[in-house]
Amino acid sequence: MNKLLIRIALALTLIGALIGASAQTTITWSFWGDPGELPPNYEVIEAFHAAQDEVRIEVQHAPWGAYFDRILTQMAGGTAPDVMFLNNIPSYAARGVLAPLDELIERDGFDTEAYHPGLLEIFSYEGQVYGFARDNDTNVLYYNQDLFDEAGMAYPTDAWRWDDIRAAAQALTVRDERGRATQYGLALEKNRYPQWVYQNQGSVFDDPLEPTEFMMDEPEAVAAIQFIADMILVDGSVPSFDAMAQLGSTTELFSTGRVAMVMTNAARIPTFMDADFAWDVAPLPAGPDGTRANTLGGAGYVMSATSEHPEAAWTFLQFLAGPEGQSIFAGTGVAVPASFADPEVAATFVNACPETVSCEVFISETERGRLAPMFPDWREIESTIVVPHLDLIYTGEMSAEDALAQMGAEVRRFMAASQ
Amino acid sequence: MAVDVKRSVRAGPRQAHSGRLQRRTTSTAYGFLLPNLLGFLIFTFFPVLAALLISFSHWDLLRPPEWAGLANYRRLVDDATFHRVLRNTFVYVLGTVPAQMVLALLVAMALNARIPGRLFFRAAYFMPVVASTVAVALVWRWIFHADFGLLNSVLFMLGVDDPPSWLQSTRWALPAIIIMSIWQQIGFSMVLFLAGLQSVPAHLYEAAKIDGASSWHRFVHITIPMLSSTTFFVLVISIINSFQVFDQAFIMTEGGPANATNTLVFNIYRYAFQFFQMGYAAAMAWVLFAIIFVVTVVQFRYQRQWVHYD
Repeated sequence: MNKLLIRIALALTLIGALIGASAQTTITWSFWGDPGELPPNYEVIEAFHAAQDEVRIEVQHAPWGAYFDRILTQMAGGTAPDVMFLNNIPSYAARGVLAPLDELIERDGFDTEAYHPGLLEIFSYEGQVYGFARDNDTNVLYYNQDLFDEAGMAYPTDAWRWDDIRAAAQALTVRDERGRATQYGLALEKNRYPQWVYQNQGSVFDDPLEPTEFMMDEPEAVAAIQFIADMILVDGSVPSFDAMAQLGSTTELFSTGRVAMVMTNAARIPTFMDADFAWDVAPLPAGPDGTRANTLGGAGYVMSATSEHPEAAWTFLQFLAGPEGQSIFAGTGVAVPASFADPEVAATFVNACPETVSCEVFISETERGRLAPMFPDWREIESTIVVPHLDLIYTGEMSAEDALAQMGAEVRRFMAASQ
Repeated sequence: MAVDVKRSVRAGPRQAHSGRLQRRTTSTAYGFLLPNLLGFLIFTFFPVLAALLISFSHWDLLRPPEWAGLANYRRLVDDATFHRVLRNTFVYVLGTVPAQMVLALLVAMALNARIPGRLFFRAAYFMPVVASTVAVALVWRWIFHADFGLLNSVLFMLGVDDPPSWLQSTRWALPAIIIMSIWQQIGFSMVLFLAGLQSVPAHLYEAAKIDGASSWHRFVHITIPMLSSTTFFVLVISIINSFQVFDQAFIMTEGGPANATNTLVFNIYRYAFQFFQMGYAAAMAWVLFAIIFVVTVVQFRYQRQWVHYD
């Protein structure tokens, strides 16, 4: 008797599901993220479901390490999720697996004004828009106020230039009797060299998206890289990048009070809020002649070229990239929203940020953002040519001038060969 | 004649019977082999053949492959990173295999003797083999830390004022990985040597002792020759494993600094799954296969000169 009831119930549910399905389109949305990063994703889905009835969202989640293999396999099999969270857009767009959006944007008058033009550009390939950034990976200067107070030093300000941060980093480095640093002045992230090059009025390429000329061996870039190397090798106030593999990341070093300043992004705020010292953020220091610069780049949303429901996917994409979707992520206060030119979105971010933190700095720094290189061959060039040569500079085996000259020759040879 | 007839008459039915049995035994044997064989064909043999085809193409997974002829192999000839990676891999093999085998044999001989706690020591030496390389690599990263690492603290106490900065130095990073790998692999070879040592008949040693052979002579003239088949097996397996080194570079150094620890398999992985160049990665994989194949064939060819089976 019971079994019969269960069967009837099952049959009814099935029929219900079939009826429901016929009236609605279900699309898949994929994203990566640690458990802690996921709640806003589900919040967005809930808001989207509440806002309309036609489109339902199914989630495909994988951790960072497994995400890209899976997406790639699905793309190769023509079964990629309808809407995807992705980075390195040009390398996918060049392979024709993403849906171009220009026509849809124009047809529906989707407002792209709130987006920083640079952030729209990195989601474009050959002049066509393929998606929208979710946030910008803006670096700011975090500083430990307690360590500054102990040393009797003034906090960093927006008047700081390279010489100021170098002097402060030296003053805040503490050594034991054998000369080993037990506390560093400043910790950096290895892949953020473009911002230093930009602050010294240099460039990585003439055009970060459609490069024709490599510029890392010009004097401005050479001086910038040598400046970083000198802080590591001459001053010993910045841990070498290889040593950080053992010492801990910028996050770990800063939150345990072993470094007085770090340059990193907004995602660290919750971790640092748990630290037992006072801290705040300041703009990145300006270059020697006062040039201020930051870098633009981040992951965002795209549509699959093989989606069976392009209209439904586009409806959801507009919601994600529009003010509502952006406000939900901005409201977490841990990612600088990509459409921060929308004053409401920007205000949501700043308000969500802890009161003790000068979060408007994230917005002003993002406004100063310049594009980091982003084109299909860049990943290979960076890992096989750029990084190995930077290693030689940071380990002190070559001067920036010599290593970057070699790097330039090799990048040019690579680019000539791939044309 | 009569005898022949008699024999054939007697042999007839028995032979038929044993033939049937043999057929049944044979098909049972193949039945047991089948699952493994299928697995080998589907997951190893055909992919390896497919990789050979892919190595003659340009393929990014997303667009259909394009025939490239020998372009990928020609590119290998001029690729400075690939040359560096080849050299690193050979240095790694030469650095780990002999040292690891000698140490494993010494440990096996020590643990073959009746010393107290030998079961504990056997387990302890085998532990690194079963421990995950990720965990092991994380611990060794700390041991190798330039300023506060265990190794340099010991060196400093021993009076070395300027110990190497190990993983941070292009010169010492590969030796550091070799040291870690030797430590990690001793256990596996040791277990095999132990098994080999225990199968050496005790009466050989007794006879030699009576004849007045010193312990060195017993080692050189009994242990070494009696272990030769074990040694051969350990050598072949260790060389093949060492050519395929990947985890250490992947976890400890990401191939750096400046490609100092980049290895063949790590480089193949990068080209295949980070730069989407399946054709070029497959060409490198085939070069690796060719190297391992040739080295192994040479070893089998020359084993007759030093390996005894009895």
